[in-house]
Amino acid sequence: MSMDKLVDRLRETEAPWDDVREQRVFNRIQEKRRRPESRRVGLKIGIGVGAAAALVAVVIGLTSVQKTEQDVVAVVDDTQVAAKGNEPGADPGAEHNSSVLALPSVGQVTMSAGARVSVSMQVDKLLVLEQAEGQARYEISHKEGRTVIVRAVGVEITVVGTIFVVSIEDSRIQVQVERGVVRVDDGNQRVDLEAGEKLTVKRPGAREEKKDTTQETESIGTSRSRQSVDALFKEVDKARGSGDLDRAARLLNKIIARREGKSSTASAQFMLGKVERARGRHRVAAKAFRSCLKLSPKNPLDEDALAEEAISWMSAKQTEQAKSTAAAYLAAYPNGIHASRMSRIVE
Amino acid sequence: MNVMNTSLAATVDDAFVVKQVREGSEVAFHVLYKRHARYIAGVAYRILGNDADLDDVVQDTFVTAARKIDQLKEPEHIRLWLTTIAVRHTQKRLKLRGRVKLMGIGSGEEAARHVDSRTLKRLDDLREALSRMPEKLTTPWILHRVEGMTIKEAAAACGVSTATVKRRLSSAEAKLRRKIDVDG
Repeated sequence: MSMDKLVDRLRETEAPWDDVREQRVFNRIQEKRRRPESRRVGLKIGIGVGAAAALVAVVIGLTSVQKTEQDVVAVVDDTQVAAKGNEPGADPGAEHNSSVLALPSVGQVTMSAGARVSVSMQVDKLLVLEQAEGQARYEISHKEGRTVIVRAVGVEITVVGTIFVVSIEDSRIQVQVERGVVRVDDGNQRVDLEAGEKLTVKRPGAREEKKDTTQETESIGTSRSRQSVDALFKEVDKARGSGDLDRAARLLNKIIARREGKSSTASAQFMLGKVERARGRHRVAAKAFRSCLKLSPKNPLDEDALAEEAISWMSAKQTEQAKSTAAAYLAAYPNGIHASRMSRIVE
Repeated sequence: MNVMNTSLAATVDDAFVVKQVREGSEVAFHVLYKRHARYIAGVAYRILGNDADLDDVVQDTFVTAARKIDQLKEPEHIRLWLTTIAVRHTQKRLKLRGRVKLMGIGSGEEAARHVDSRTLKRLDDLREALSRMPEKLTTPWILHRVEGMTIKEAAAACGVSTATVKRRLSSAEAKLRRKIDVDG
């Protein structure tokens, strides 16, 4: 038998990989990705269920609930109950003309007449809801490690644990947060919305015929009194890309001063370290990397931050500090990607 | 705009999916994973030589990819990029383990496919020989000979020059031929 044929045989060796395993690993990936993310958003929201008003439950215009890869999580509650109260942001006319999409252990969606919401995907701890039209009020309870996304005609709203209303109109989509925080992504930028805030974005494909609508669309950055951290990070990238390191450092310090979540602050410290080193301010860089580590231990940046700190101390001619930091790196990551460089510093 | 949904997934190309992932679409990330996880698992499995670290390598590959997706220069070549990441994570695991162990993988499957005993013996010899070679020879050999990557692609995945990969391939091939009874 020739080597080529033997190689063909080896190529036919398939990994013991099936859908169940694939899903299990995906869940682990999502857990790992979400860990720093959940710290970044930094929300600890307890959602009380008691306050949620019961609304008349008539199934209107509800698209079929799709059963996906696992058990269905969404069921339509068609029990008729009496409407109570007027929730902020809810359609006043919804009292007698609404339907409820119950999401056991997740929450519920109350739809006004004509609204269409369906479960687009449910993969273990990821639930994607699709709102096609109308107004819907979402009450989603917070659960560590779970991600709920509402997609409204091309706009993605990532939910941590909150109550909010999404209204799809002819030319715009409005998101109004009653409690907690949501992240709205219109494809151009992301904005974190907090309780009491409202955001209006242009509906994809809508004609720009109404001047008011255009103005409101632009409010993605201005409806809040200040830029989102994500927007600032984008500006940092732009400044770094154009070589304007002073501006990048200023913006990063601005993000750090905000203290909006440990993870984003840690990321800003890490980037600041890089920028300061590029500016030749090695001591400041080392301190920034150290701050990154202190802020967010067990962050994916940890290993790099420790190595960068050691290198920065070395560049600042602080040999002892460089050696002790490099030794700390080697103790934590004996087989790390920077191990050989750290060994050279220790030696 | 994030216009990704599962029904669209089958019809869109990788570049589009990557664009959506960059824009923060979780659905797109899931599509990306579903599209490439099995392939990545296959590559990692053939390099690792066993099942033990497979989940970890696939997990680390996609976590790294999610974190560094903005650094991907050619979105249409996402699979090669993912493979590169997977190879690095695999190498890390192998270094931790100390030695490649390819023995025994797939023997059951091959027996089930009625592979003749002589071929089975040679396959085991090949795995044994691979397990005894240094990882720096094994990985490019598997990427090029088994996974069908070009030398340039294997070099990129291993993080070395094409000249180095050529040298290592030649060395690996010679060592393997000395160990295994093959024609030609």
